[in-house]
Amino acid sequence: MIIGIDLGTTNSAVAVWRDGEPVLVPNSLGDLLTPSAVSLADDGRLLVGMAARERQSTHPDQTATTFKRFMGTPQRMRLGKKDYSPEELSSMVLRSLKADAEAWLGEPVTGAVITVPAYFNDRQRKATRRAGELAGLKIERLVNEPTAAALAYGIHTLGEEKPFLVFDLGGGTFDVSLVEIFDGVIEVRASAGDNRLGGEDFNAVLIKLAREKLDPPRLGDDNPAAFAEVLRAAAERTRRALSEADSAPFSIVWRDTAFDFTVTADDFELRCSDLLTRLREPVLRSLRDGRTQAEGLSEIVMVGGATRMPMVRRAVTRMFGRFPNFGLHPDHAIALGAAIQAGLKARNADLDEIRLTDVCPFTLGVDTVDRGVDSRLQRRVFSPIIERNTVVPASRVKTFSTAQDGQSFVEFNVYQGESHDLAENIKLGSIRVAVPPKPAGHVSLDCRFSYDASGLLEVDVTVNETGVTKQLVIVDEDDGAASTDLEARRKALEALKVHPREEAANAAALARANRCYASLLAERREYVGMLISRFQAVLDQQEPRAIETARKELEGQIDQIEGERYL
Amino acid sequence: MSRRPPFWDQLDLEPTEDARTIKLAYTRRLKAMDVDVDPAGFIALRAARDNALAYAAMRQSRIAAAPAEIQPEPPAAPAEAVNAAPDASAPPRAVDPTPPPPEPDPDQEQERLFNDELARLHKQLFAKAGDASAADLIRLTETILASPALDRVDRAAHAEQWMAATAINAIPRSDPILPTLISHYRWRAQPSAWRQPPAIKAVLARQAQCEFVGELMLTRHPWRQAYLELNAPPKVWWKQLNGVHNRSVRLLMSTIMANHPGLLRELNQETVAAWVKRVNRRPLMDRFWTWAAKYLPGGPRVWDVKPALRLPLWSLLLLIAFPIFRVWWLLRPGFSLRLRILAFSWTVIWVAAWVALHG
Repeated sequence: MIIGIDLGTTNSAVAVWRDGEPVLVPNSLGDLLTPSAVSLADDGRLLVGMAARERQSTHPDQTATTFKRFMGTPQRMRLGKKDYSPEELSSMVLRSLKADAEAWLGEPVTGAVITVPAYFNDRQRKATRRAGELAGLKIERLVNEPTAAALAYGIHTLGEEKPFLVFDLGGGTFDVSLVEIFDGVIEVRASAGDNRLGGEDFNAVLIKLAREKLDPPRLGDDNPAAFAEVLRAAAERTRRALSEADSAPFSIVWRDTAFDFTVTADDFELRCSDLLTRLREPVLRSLRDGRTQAEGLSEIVMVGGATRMPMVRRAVTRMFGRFPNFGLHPDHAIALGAAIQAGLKARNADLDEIRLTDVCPFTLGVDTVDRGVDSRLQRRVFSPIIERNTVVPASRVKTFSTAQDGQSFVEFNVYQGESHDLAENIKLGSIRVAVPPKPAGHVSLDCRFSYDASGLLEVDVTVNETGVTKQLVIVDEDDGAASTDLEARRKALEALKVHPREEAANAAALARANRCYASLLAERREYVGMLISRFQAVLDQQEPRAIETARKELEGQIDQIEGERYL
Repeated sequence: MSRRPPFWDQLDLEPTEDARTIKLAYTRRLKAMDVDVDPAGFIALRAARDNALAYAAMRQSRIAAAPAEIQPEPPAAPAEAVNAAPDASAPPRAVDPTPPPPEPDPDQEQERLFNDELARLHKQLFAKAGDASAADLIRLTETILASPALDRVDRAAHAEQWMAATAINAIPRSDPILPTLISHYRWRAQPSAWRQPPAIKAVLARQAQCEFVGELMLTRHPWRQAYLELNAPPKVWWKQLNGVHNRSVRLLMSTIMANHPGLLRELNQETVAAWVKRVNRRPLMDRFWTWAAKYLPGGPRVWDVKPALRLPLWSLLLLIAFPIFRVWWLLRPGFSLRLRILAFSWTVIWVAAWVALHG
C-alpha cells in the first residue's frame, strides 16, 4: 500500500486511496492531524504529535517544533542532551504517521508520496527524501503541496477548462500554483512561492507586539528559550481567537504571575501589512509566468491553515476582486491530494483517465564568464538552462565555449535560483571536464540538464571536439558518504525508544494538563493539580478501561477550563 | 505534404490549426504512456505538443494579420509572446497620447479616479514646457502607487507595465520618479533580473546610470576629472589623444562601456570615439604574437605562446639580444675611434665590475 503524507510545518496528516476515493487516516488519538512536534519524555522515550506539542511550553528544551523551516540547513535542534537535525526530527514524525497508517490499514506500508512546498529548493527536497528514508519509507515521489491540493480539487471538477489558482498559505510556507485541467490531464502551468512565509510569521508579529506591551520590558530574560515558547503558544491561541472575533486576549503566565492584554483584529492586521504585501509577489509572478490574467481564472482555491485568517481572506478578495473558494478543507486537502498521487503511482484503475503534469518551479543553470568590454572585467554570472516553470520531466541542452586561450579544463558549477548574481543562488554541485588546449572560443561544450519528475537532476557535459562525455548526478550535496551513512543513522534512530502508540492519548492528555497547570493561577491551578494527581493514580493502576474513562473525564474538565483543544 | 514537420507524426495527427485538437491528441497520447517508465518519450511528446501549438498560433495570427506584413516567428516561440511589454531600448519617443486604462470597468468610481491620475502623470511627463517640479512628479507618482485601486492584481500588473513603459519613454523628464518606482515595485530586489521585461530593465539601467553620474560629480571622486575630460572636446596632440588623466579615463571608459552603455550617448561624441578606439586597441605585444604566429616560420605551434609565458620569454630575449646589439653598436665602422675606445673600455669596466661583484 502506498500512502500519501502531508508533512507540514505545524501539523502533518496521512491519507490513502481506498475504494475510489482518498481517505484520511486517524492517528492513535483519533485525530486526523498530527502536530509536527517531537519531545523527549522524562523517562527518555520519544513523544510525537499532540503530547509533544503540549510539552512545548512546559519543557521547551526537550521539545522541537517547526523544524520543517530548517530542512536542508545545517541547523540542529537540541532535545535533552542530544542534537538532532531537522530531517531526523521529521523522520520521527513520519515514522509515527507510518505506524498510524499501518495500524489503521492492517497491512504494511510499502511506499509513500510525501508533499513538499513547491518553492522548496533542491536541498530541502533532498532533506525531505532522506527523512523519509530514515523513517524506513520508500519514497515513491515528492509532490508539490499546491499540486496535491490541485489534485484534490481538480478530481471533482474535471469538466472545467478554465485554469484555477491554488493559494496555499501553510504554517511556514507559501505557494501559489496556476493549474489547468484539460481532458483529465491536470497540468500545473506555473508555481511561485515564498518558503519563509506562513502562519508562524503572523505569530511572530503577535509576539513582537506582546514584547512591546508586556509590562516589565525585560520579562523572561532569565530563561529566554522557555519564555519564547510560552509566548509562541499564547500567540497561536490569540491568532486563532482573532480569526473568530474582533478582539482577543493575549495572556501568559510567567513565574506564577499572569500578564495579559487585548489585541484587536484591526491593530493586528495593521501590523501584518508587510506580510500581506508579501503575498502579492508570488501571485503576480505565477500569473505572469502562466500568461494568464486574474480575470480568466475560474476559481481561487484556498488551502493551508493560515488561510482561515480573515485578513488573508480579505487580502485575497481585494487582489482578485471576488471571493475565493473555500470548498476544500484547508488542513486536509494536501494529504488527500498526496493520497490521489499515491493512487496514480500505484496505477489504480479508478484513476485511469487522470494524469498529472507538474513544473519545476525554479531555474537551474550553470555559471559562465561574462567578458568585459576590454576583456579585463570578468565576472561569473548565472546562465539558465532549465527555465522555471518548465514541465517535468524535462531535458535541455545549451552550448558553451572556452573563455581563455589554451584552457586545459572547463568547470561547470550547477546552480539553482532566479538571480543573475551567483551569490544569491544555491550551488548544487560541480563537474569538471578536460578540453584540448586551443584559443579561446575554439572548443565548444554541450551541457545537458535532465530533470525528472521527482526532482532529481542529471548533468551531462560533452566536449564536441573530442566527443568525451562526463556525467554528474546530483544526488546529494554532502557527497556519497551520506548514502552509507544513512543506513547507520536509520539504525541509530530505530534504536531510540519511542513512546508506545497505545499510551499516546494518555501522554497527550497528561501533557496538556501539565501545560494547563503552568498557565493557570490560584484555585484553578489547584484544581488542575488535583485532576493531574487523580489521573496519575488511575494510570498507576494500569487498568485500560478505568484509564480511558479517567482520560475522557480529565479532557472534559480541561476543555471547560481553557476551551476546546485545537490542532 | 512531403516536408511536413515531424511533430505531427509524434502526435498522430494531421496538420491542423485548432489548439483543442492538438491538446486532445496530446492528452490521448499521454494517457497511453507511463511517464515514469519513459521520460524521454514524454519529453518528445511535450515538445511535439508545444511545437504544434506554436505552429497553430502562428497560422492563426497569419490569418488574422494582413497578408502583406507577416512577421515570421520561430516555430518554438510561445504564441503569447506578442503581448510582451513595449520595446524600450529605442530612444525617447512620444507614446500613444492617452494612457491605456488598465481595466475597462466603468462602474467603479475608484477606477475612474485612478485613470484620471494616470492621465495627469502622463500629461506632466510629456508636457512640452514641463510645468511640474521634480517634487510634484514624485508626489503624484506616490499618490498613484498608494491608490487602493491597485489592490486588484490584474490592474496592478497592468499598471506596473504601463509605469515602466511611460517612465522609459519620458526620459529625461521622468528621472526624478525612477527611484520611487524602483523601490515601490522592488524591481531591483527581484531576483529574476534577466527575465524582466525590457522596459523595466531599461528603467533600472537608466537609474543606475543617473546614480553613477551623481557619484562622479562628487568633488573628491577619483574619476571626476576623467569624466569632465570625456565631456569636453578631445585634446589631441600629434594626432594622438593627449589626456592628462590617461589611466583613469581608460578605466572610466571601460566601466561605462561595460555597465552604462547608455551614458556613451550623452558624452562628447568625438572624444568618446577617439577613446573607444584607444580602449579597444589590443596591447602592442599581443598584436606582435598574433602576427608572429601567423607569418613567422615555425607556424602557430612555435609562436602561439601561452600568455603566462610571454613576459618571461620576452625578457629572456631582451637579455640575450641587448648585449649583442650593444657590442655591434660600439664596434661598428664609421663610429669615431676615440668614442669607440672610450665606450669599449667603459663596457670592459662594467663587465669587470659585474664579474667582481657576482662571479
